Amino acid sequence: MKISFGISKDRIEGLKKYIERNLILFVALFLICLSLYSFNVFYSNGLGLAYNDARSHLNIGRRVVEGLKPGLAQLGSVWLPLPHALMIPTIWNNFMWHSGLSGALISMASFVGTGIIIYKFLEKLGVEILARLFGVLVFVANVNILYLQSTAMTELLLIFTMTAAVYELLLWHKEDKVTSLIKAAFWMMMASLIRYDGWFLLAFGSALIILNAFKKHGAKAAEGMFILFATLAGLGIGLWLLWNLLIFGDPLYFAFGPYSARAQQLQLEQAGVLATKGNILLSAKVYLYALIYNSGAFTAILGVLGMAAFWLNKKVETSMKIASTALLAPFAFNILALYLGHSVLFIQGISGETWFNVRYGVMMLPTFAIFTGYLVHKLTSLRATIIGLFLFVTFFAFANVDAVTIDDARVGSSQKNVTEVSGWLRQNAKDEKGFVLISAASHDAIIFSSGLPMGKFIHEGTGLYWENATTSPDRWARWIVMRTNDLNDSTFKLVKQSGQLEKYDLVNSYPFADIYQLKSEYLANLNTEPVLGKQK
Amino acid sequence: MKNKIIVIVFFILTVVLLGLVVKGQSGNPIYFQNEKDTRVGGPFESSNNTSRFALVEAIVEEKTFFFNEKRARFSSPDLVLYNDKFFSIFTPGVSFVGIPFYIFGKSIGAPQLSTYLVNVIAALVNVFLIYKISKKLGAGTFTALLSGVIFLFATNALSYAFTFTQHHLSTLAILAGTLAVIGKSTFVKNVAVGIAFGVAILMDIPNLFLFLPIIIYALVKNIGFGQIKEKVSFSFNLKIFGLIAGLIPFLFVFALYNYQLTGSYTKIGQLIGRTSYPPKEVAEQKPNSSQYTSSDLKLFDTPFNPRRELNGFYILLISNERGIFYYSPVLILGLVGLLVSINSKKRKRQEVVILVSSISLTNILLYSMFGDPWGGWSYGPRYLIPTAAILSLGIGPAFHKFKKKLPIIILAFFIIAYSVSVNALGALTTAAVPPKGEAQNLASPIPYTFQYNLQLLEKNFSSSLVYNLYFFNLISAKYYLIYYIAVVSLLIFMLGVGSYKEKEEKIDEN
Repeated sequence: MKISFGISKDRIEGLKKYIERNLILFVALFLICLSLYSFNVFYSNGLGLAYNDARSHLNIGRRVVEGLKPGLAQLGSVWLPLPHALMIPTIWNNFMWHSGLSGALISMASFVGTGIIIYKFLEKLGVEILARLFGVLVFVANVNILYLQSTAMTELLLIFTMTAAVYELLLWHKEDKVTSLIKAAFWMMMASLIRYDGWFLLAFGSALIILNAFKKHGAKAAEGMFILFATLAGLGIGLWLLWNLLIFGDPLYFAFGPYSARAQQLQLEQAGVLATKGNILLSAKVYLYALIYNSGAFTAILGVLGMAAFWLNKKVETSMKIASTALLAPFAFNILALYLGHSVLFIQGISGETWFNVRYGVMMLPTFAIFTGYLVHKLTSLRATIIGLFLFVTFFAFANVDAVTIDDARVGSSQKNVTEVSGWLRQNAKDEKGFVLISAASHDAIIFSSGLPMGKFIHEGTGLYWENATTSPDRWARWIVMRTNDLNDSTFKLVKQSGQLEKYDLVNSYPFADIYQLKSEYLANLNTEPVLGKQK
Repeated sequence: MKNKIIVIVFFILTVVLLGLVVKGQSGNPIYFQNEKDTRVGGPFESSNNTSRFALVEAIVEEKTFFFNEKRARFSSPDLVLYNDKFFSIFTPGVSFVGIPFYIFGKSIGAPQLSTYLVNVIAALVNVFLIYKISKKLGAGTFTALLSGVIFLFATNALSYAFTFTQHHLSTLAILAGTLAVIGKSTFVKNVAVGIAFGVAILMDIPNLFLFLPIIIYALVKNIGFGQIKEKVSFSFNLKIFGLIAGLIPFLFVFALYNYQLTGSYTKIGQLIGRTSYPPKEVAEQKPNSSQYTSSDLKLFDTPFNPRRELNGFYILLISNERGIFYYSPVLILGLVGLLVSINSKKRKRQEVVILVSSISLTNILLYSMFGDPWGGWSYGPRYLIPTAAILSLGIGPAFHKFKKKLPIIILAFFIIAYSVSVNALGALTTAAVPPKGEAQNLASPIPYTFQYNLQLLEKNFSSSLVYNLYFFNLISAKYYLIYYIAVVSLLIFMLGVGSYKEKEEKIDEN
């Protein structure tokens, strides 16, 4: 006994064509809905701002438009400037700033963009529709990605620009069109202004371009292609060096300055927790674990099998295979950075007891998504099995809301629960006149969480206010927030030198900072208005 | 006729070989029949045996599912305390099957021996089912028997044939479900799939997931696409309702059982959690705000978490603690055989191989996500016994692929001999080997691999009832093991020779 029904063949064909024609649009709509929903989930439970770095990114953007010395110079040198520059159009709005949406919007758009790029990437590899959609699913059905895309962190923007760059690079290898080369250069330039991973991709991509152009057109053409590519792709790096020279007087200030990653890594090395430095095997192991914990072991295995299927397929052009190696750039970069001691990453149980910076492992997820899509395309007989098992594992991942990045954000060095100290400021300084002297380099999370306007704070980026307040704090700072006896906290270091601390009462000591308040007898001489005017 | 005789002789030999390993101690009456002794190597060495056995006793002796204090102590820690009453943490299927065996055994003064026969019989049925499925995959009689014998004697399935655990009965349900679902879909076969599914759930909750590929395959087989003139037709075969008809009675029994225990049809012991006897006071833990993890956000409680996959894969597949390929490297041949078969041009064969591979992968993935992939104190990867059965199905295709490559055949023989030896060692000593973490933290640390079993053997210890009754004064336990390995290896060798001579058979489409 059967229940049967029929639909006209023409109708089905028509529907099929309609779906195929508009599929990319449907994918984009789905990703937008998923992105908005995820943001709402992590905004509602407060996790969207759990990363200390997320709050700092938002503050950097905000300082450009608001504060005692607003302006582009506030982009600073600690981080590359693009993520903060992209926040400028929205960060002026208090809700966009304090909800984190100003930064998350960039991550969310990048999330949608990356999903589409993965789809297009697989399309260019000749992968059929189901496998393309599966590749996109592998990328988006990941709690780590959904969490990071809901925050003001820079990972998604970097993933998007790097994947777009590799996609254009692949197109150039395939079709040899100069426009693809220019687009690849553009995306690499963007990536180079987000994180140093982009610099590595630029170097790797340059080598691939020289190799391919040399093979196809000879030495002269290779030279020309490289110059064309490098002029645009390297523009970001050139401007960044110039920026450092103009603002800080040293083109390599970002690399060797007091707030550079190198300076932080040196501190960690002195503390004996930079175990990966000089140990290539441990570096590889740590990053391998990080990418597995971010992607999931099953997804990682599928991705590796997909790579094998792609690279061992004799029907795929060699130039395409070579171009696709750029997808491994994050893998090589991160291991190298750990080995050279330029980066730090902890894996619970292997190095350190937290998940500090484990999110770096998420960079390989688009790579796995693309190759997993390819695997599903090739293994037609096991297609249902692979998709079914992926859904099976993903079901448990979502049931557990299991994400190492959330653990990283909530426990250990990446989080900074400054609720108490920022709560005190909100309660006691909000409606009182006077400035708060604080080091943004050390306590950006407190500035953000206090909910006070940026103009209330005197920090390193406020020029004369900072100079005056650290030499004569009693004239400028009604409150001082700092880690007492920690010379790494520049406020403490300078206030101690000023010898004025006895004019303050220690209000309270909190886990991340102490609060000092100017004694009432000195209030009469205190400047409480931004009287210094516009500074250069 | 000739084939039938071969099969019958083979099964008689298998029964004899199994009989030589049945656990027990000499005594009059035979020890363990009245004694609740949980010593190492005995039938009650693990609480996953005792808790199920206690339930059989409670049902037969006192007509209740609840345990008195004596049985609660005997079952601890596989015990639940709920509403001030103790009961087994496990689903009741194994114990239900054990009831008639217990009653019969009690009447002849051997309740333990008789009850434990359940798994010996289930193991034999599993060999038969592997034989049948192998035949469906095109294997000849000897090759199909070889697959069965590899499963039983060259994997830890041997150790668990003499326990009162869920593994063989779960495997039986899965294999039976597989056999029922392949071939042409009929109402009766769908009922059989439903029954197998229901039985599987009663045996162990995770079987719900292991059955998913079978259920999906059954559903897909009953949905049809076709083209009639200018129309594309979709049809849904109502025979699929046979599956529900087969399943419902078992769900009903399970629901009633749960209701009796917890007052809820859906609340099961495993969701309530373990207790020990006597119950320990648990100090209330104050939450530490700085120690939140993503687990605080979980949508619902599940013992399976993908973050454990990496460790789980290692433990279950290659570790010296429980790795399936460490304890039974012969299954690598089975894996190769399945991979070869996946590319088969025969569509029916390919479908079956994809189905069983899906079950096996689900099994591995599920337990790789489990908090205790070791399965507590156990021997080999006990949770992967269904996978061992499935990988054994690949032995035939692998043998046919490589039978003219002598170096591979010689290598295979050594691998088989190693696998048989390791698993006979476990079956003849103990199936309670601690995980590394526990073994190293004992007051007197012990090995966490089969080195522990070798140590017991060096002390002339054997868990075999036949050895302890008849051979203890004649030969050492070590020689008993060596002779046993030799006989099993000879049986496998003979089947191998028989298999070498036969050709692949046509695939049975039904």
